Parts: sequence; C-alpha cells; structure tokens
Amino acid sequence: MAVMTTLAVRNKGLRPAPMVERNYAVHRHGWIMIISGLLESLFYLFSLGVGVGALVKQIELPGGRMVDYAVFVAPAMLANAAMNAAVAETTFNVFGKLKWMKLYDGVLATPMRPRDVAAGEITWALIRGAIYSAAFLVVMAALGLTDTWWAVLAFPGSVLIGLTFSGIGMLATTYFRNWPDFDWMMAFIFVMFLFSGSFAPIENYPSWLQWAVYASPLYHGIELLRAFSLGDLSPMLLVHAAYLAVVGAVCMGFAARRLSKLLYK
Amino acid sequence: MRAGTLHAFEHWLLNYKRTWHGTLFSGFLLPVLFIVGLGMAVGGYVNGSSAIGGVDYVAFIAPGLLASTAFQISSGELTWPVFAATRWGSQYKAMQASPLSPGEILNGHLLYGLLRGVSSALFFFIVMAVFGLLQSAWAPLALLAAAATAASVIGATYAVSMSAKHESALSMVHRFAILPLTLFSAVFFPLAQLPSYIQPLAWISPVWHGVELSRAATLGVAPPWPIAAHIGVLAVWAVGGWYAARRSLLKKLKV
Amino acid sequence: MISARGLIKRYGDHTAVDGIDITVPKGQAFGFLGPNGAGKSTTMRMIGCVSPPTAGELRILGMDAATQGPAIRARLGVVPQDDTLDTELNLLENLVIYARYFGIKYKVARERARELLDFVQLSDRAESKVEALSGGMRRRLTIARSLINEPDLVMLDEPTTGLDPQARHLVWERLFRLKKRGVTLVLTTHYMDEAEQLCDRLVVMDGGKIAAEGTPRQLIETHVTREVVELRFNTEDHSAYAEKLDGAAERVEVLPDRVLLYTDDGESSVSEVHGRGLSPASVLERRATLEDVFLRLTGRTLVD
Repeated sequence: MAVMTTLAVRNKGLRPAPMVERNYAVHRHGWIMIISGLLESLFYLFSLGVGVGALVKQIELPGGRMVDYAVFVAPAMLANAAMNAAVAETTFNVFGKLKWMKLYDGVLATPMRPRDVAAGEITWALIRGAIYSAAFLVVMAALGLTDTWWAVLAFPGSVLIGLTFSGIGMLATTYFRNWPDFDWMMAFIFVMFLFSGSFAPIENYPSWLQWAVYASPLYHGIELLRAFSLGDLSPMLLVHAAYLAVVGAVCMGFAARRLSKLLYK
Repeated sequence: MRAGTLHAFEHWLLNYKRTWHGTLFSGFLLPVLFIVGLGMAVGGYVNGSSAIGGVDYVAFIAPGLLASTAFQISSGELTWPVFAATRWGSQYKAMQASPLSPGEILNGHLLYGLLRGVSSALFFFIVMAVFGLLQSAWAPLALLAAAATAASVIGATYAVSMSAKHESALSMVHRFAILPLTLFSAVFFPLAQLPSYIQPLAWISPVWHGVELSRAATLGVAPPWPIAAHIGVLAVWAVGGWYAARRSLLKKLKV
Repeated sequence: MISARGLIKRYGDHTAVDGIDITVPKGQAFGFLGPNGAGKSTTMRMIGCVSPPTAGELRILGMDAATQGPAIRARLGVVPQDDTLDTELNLLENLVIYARYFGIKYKVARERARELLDFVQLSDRAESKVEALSGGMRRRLTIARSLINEPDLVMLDEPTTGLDPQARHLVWERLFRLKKRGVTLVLTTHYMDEAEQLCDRLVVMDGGKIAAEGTPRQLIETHVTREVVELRFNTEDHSAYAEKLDGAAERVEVLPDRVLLYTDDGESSVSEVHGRGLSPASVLERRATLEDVFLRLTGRTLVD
C-alpha cells in the first residue's frame, strides 16, 4: 500500500530518472565511447577551424570587428557538437531500443508511461551532450579561442541546443521505419551544419538562402553561442533562445504523444 | 579474374539494389554540398591566396574531395557489412556452402567496395567538370588517383572489420581512422598549415597521397613528392592491406 | 482481482477480442487456452494496461484499467511472450533497474534481485550478459523480473513455449510455489498438460470469443466424454468406417489416420467394435484430456 501511495503521488509529474539510471548502468563501462564522441568534435574544430583558419586568418564580423577565423568557427563547432550528441542519442539509440531490442515494451509493463520514457531518454541525451560541451569549452578556452567570461553562458546555451535537437530527434524517431531513413536525416543535419552560418556570417549568403537559414534551429544555436564566446551580447539573443525553446517544446510534446500511440497498441 | 570473384561481387551488387537509395546522400550529394557550402563561405576569404597555389578555394578542395570521397565510401562499405557478413548476416555462410573459395569471396567483396567508391568519384568528377573545376588536360588522371586511394584502403579496412571482436570497434574505426584521415589529409587546407611535427603523420596516410595526386591532375601542377613516391606508398598500403584481409578472413572461416 | 465485461479490442477492421466477460478471484490460477490468433495475447495486454480496450469495462485490483494504468501496473507482474529483457545489462542489473522503474529503493531492489535470482536458480550467472543465456534461462529471468515488485497478480503469456522438458518442469515448479504463496496467476498456453497442471480454471478462446469456461475437469465432462478409444485400421482411407462404427459410441470422429470413439465406457465400446466384426490394427483406450476438449471446440484446421 505504501508503494502505491508514493506512486500515486509521483504519477502526477514526469519520472525521467529510472531511464537515465538504466542508460548510466549500460554506459558505466563505456566511457571510451563518450570520450571518442568528444574527440570527433575536436577533430572538426582543428581541421575546419584551426586548419582552414590558418588560410583565412581574420574575418570581419557584420559589425565591423575583426576576429581570427578559428575564433569565429569554434562556437559553431560547439553548437554542432551539442546538436550531434542530442540527435545521435535520440535517434539511433532510441530507435534501436524501440524497434530492435523492444526494450520499452518491457519498461511499459511497469508504472512508467511513454512520456516518462521520452523524458528519461531526453534527459540522458542532455547529460551526455552537456559533458561534451563542457569539455569542448575548456579546450576552446585553453586554445585561446575565447577570452571572455561570457563564454560560460555558452554552456547553458549548448544545453538548450541539446534540448531542441533531442525533441526533434525523438519526434523523427517515431516516424522512422528503417535505416535508409537515418541516412536522409543525417543528410538534413549535414545540410544544416554547412549552411547555418558555421563558416561565414550568413550576411554573405544570397538573400533567398538567408531566409531559409532563419528557419534552421542550428543557426539560432550558433548565433547564441557565438555571441557568448565573442562577448557580443544583444537583445536578439532572446529571440534565438526563444526559437530554440519553442521548437524543442513543440517537438517533445508531439513526440511523447506519438510514442504513446506506437507503444500502447 | 576468376569467375568466382565475379559471382561474389554480383551478390553484393544485388544486395545494393535493395539499399541504394540510402546511399545517395553520402555517396553523391555530400561532396557536392561540401564544395557549395565551404566554397561559398570560405572562398570569399581565401580565393587566389598563395597558400593554396593562387587558385579558387573550390578548385583547391574539389580534387581533395574527389579522392577522399572514394576513400570514405569504399572504406565505409567495408566496415559494418564485412563485420555483419560473418555474424548477424549469413551471407558468407551461404557463399561458403557454394563452390566459392575464400580468395574469391574476399576479392568479390573488395571489388564491390572499390567500385562503390569509384562510382561516387566518377559522379563527383562530372560535377567538377560542370562547375569548371577541371583546369588541366591531365584531369582524367584524378579519377585514377581516386581509384588508387580507394584501392589502397579497402584491404586494411576489411582486415580490421573482419577481425573486430565487437561492433563498437567499428564506430572507433569511423571516428579514429576514417574521419581524421578525411579531415587532416590536405583536403581542406594544405599540409603546410599543420604544425611541422604533425606533418610526418600525414605522410603515411594513403589519403594524403591520393589527394595530392588528384589535385596535381586537376590543377595541372606537380605534386609535393615525386609521383612514383606517392604511388609507391599507395601500392604498399594496397598490397599489405590485401594480405592482411586475406589472413583475417582465413582465420575467421576456420573458427 | 480481474473483472471484464463486454471487453472488445479492434485494430481497424479486424476484431481481435470480441466482447468477452471474465472474472478472476484472488489466489486463483486462471488460464487462457486457444489457437494462435484467438485473442489471448491481446487480452493479456489489455489486462496489463498497455493496450487500451476499444469498448467494455475492465477493472483490475478494484481499479479502472482505462484511467488508472500506472497504479494498476505497479501491482502487476508481467511475463510477456517475447522476453523484452534488457540485452545491454547483466542479469542482476536487469532486475535492479527494473525495480527502479517501479520506484523501488535501490537498496531494497538489490536485495530482492539477489533473492529472486536465487529463486529462479540463476545466482551463479548474476554478472552474465542476457545474450549468453539459453531460452529457458531467459524465461526464468523474465519470471524473476516479473516478481521484483512483489505483485498481487502475475500475468504469463506462454511461459514455457519453446523450452526443453527440463526447463519447462523447472518453470512449472516455480510457478506452483508462487501459487501456494497466494499469488494470483493468469496465463496463456497452448500446452494442455501445462493448463491441467497449473490452472484452477480455464477459458478456451477462439476467434476473439470465449468458447468454453470451467475447471479442467468440468470442461472435459461438459464437452467430451470420460474416455476415448483410438482405432487404426489397415487402410488408406478411414472414412469408410464412419458408417460401420455409427452408434458404437456417443460420438465417432474420423481422422485421416485413425478413428476416435468418444465414450463413457471404453471397454464396452471396444467389444461393440469387435461385435460388429471389425478388426482394427491397433486399439488404444485412454481417458479424455483437455486436448480433446480443445480440438473439439476450436477445430482441427491449422490457423496459421
């Protein structure tokens, strides 16, 4: 009876913790995978930021300020890392558990509900992404790619990006049928990576393309993190953050509902 | 080439007929997006810079992408599918039950991997021609360079995938071999931009040699090393890789 | 513990469960029999509160299945047809993490997990991965998992399908112990011996409906006779004997390879057969079983 009352009370809110604990138990010995994920984003930073940066040297920001190219690209790589961590966790991993391992079928025979499962997986994706982002920021600071304390705000900023893309990833997963679908998703992610102002201010793009870029959540994430790491704050940042939050919340809402439909057959 | 090799090759080709649409992006669209995206963004700052030989940035990275695409597709094709063929999938079991010899099974699979990379390179080569990025009469040789790059890595990739103990080793191959080889083999910036103590690492990378040969062909300039030296390194990789692949397969089939 | 009235489940045009009524009192072992596609698993999923009924009333443990799913599931133990074990965790972790889904404290979870591994005789494999287990071991682990929340009601969907005889008997013995402890069991099976061994009461389902209900003995008495005589003749075609044997027993059923006589007195039926001048190649007298009931009610044609 005691168990019942506590559960009845808890059932009002979300219960993400058990799913997080489960994932932690699986990855407790798999830290090498997580470290390798961080290294992957550092490879991009060194190649497309530092390496290409040595060619470009300095670029002029829309406001007229000159910065090193690597300083310009680094926050975009951070945003990209946060996005990739969230997407990888909520698509590949969740899809595997949903369709192959049938893991959630077992979980749902307990008091856990589909929305608890979704919340747990998203929380786990955020934790994983936050570890990458924190480490990435430390590397950025160590390399002198940021020199302001505002850059600390890039950490919550990248968690927000993680939240948005966890929602998008979760929702996409409920629509996936098989692996070729993932290739198309990766294509979409990659197009965003190339065209969201990672490598040049989007003011350099043709104007029709600029409008398309405004729709890209990654663009808003990059603008947010870049402003923090350059110490270049403006009220526009609220718009960027709000866009990310709204897209994330809407996708999560739909994802939880669709997951219910998929699992409560 | 023996008929058995072609039979094994045909098996993978038929298999590809079922999954081809999932490879359109990585095999064909991705390199094109790279030249459009990076060319537009970075080109504005570095076009004509002496560090890249005074050419446009797109003209600089395109031949690099040609070789690295062939490399990525061929090696990617020989990671999970090779690992799976003796484990979850039963393709090799079925082939073994037929009169195919291990050598034919191996060569058929390698040939398929090679041709996947070469076909992507061919497509990208045509795109380069359309964009006006083939600036020398030697340009068709860039296709050979791309094919040689793919040929130099298929054996090694096969050997690693075949002898991998666990699936996670394959993600490691992607993250710690295929990706850094793509990013640091002078595709996006000349080797001279790397610190001098790191450069020798690129010298052993087959991708770097392939990229330099490919670039020499499309731009009509001399590669950094004598051509024979570049080809020699690629050949060592190809032959060594093939023997390693053969060993790994024989070991696996005996168990 | 369970009461269902007019329970219906439809998937599009297909009606999987077509208006069934069930009552399961506390402490009973209740079985669903039926061929594949009869609607057993769907019914189990509805009782497990992971499949909302299309229509009808379903109350479990005094609560409404439609609105109080999580609270009901907190007191259920479920052994699904496919084990749904967590293949990325070892055996002990499987149980401990499952306990956490119920909100059971970590310390309690570990203690119970150890006890339950003992109960299903898997203690020595506590640190193994699930993938290394045989089918029977997986089944036992799934049963242990279903008990982690000390449930009042345990639901088992085909608990022994695909197991070898040793593993089946071990599972039965463990289930029997649970029953003795007063746990209510609901199970589906298509093994008649399993149903006779474990179930106090049974329903036979066919085409989404309940075809019969009662104790194993009642079912035999109501739907078939006490004894069955199986006759084989030296012939390619047994159908010719239908007429010749007419009236030799309460009911005569001709199969391609033999003739069955349903009778309350096997011996007199046999002498009747001989009295009619017939000499079968073999004669087998036996007691009627649930299998006879099952085939009588659900027919002999293959369903899938």
